[in-house]
Amino acid sequence: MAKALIAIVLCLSFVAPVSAAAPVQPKAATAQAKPAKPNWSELTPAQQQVLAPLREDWSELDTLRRKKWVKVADQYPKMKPEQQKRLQSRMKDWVKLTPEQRRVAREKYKTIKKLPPEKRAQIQAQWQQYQESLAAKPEAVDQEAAGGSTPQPQ
Amino acid sequence: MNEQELARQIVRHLERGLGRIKQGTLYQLQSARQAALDRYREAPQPAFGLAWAGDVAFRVSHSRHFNARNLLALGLLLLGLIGVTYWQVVIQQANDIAEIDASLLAGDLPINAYLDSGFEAWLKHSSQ
Repeated sequence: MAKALIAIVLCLSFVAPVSAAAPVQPKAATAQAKPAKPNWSELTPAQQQVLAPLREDWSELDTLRRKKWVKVADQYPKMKPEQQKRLQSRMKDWVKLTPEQRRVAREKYKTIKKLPPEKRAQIQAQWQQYQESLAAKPEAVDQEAAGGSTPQPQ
Repeated sequence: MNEQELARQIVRHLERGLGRIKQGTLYQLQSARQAALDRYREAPQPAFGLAWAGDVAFRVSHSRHFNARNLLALGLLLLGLIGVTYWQVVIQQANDIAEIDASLLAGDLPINAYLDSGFEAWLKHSSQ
């Protein structure tokens, strides 16, 4: 009996850290079994105001994503007015993206964030330039890009 | 007095003393003997287990600190620690993602700038 228990305890101690360190993927079954939290009515008035663009989509979000948005809403008061405006205007588009698109966007954001400020400003200027050239002669930009993708609505 | 004679005298004294032992003391001695015998019989017997754990299990199973109840408590403690660690990882990941999403969405570049592969190709082309 004691040996069997020791074997179980030792097995658990080896297996558990591996499963704990693995990337967390919310299971669909778990999400279906338990209703996602928090409900819209459980948010504070301040959080509801910040997350207002997501009100219609809130019921579609699982618990992990809802909790993430609550944390985003809590960071909102610390932002500058123009940042607050940008955040709210982009929320709806962001939730419409696929998980893969969001992952790619986060990875690229992290790469750009590591660049020096002047390089980041240069990328921003180049984006403006790209948008202007796209509006002026889209077919030329397509040819230059050689295999570029269709821009998505902002 | 040789050794044999001395031994006989000691035995005589002990037997005489034995007759004078109080009933209560006799009972205590009997109880202590019985308890010692019970403990001896309850010593853990070898049990089924993994071969690699056998040596460790043999050593610890002969220690009175490693009985089944203590091991069960240890197992539950480990499970509790695993649960706490798991939730810490989940919460940390959620916090990290929230922080990235908040700064990405509030940033100077629009979402499309990160997803438009045409822009990426255009950047490469214009830098050549």
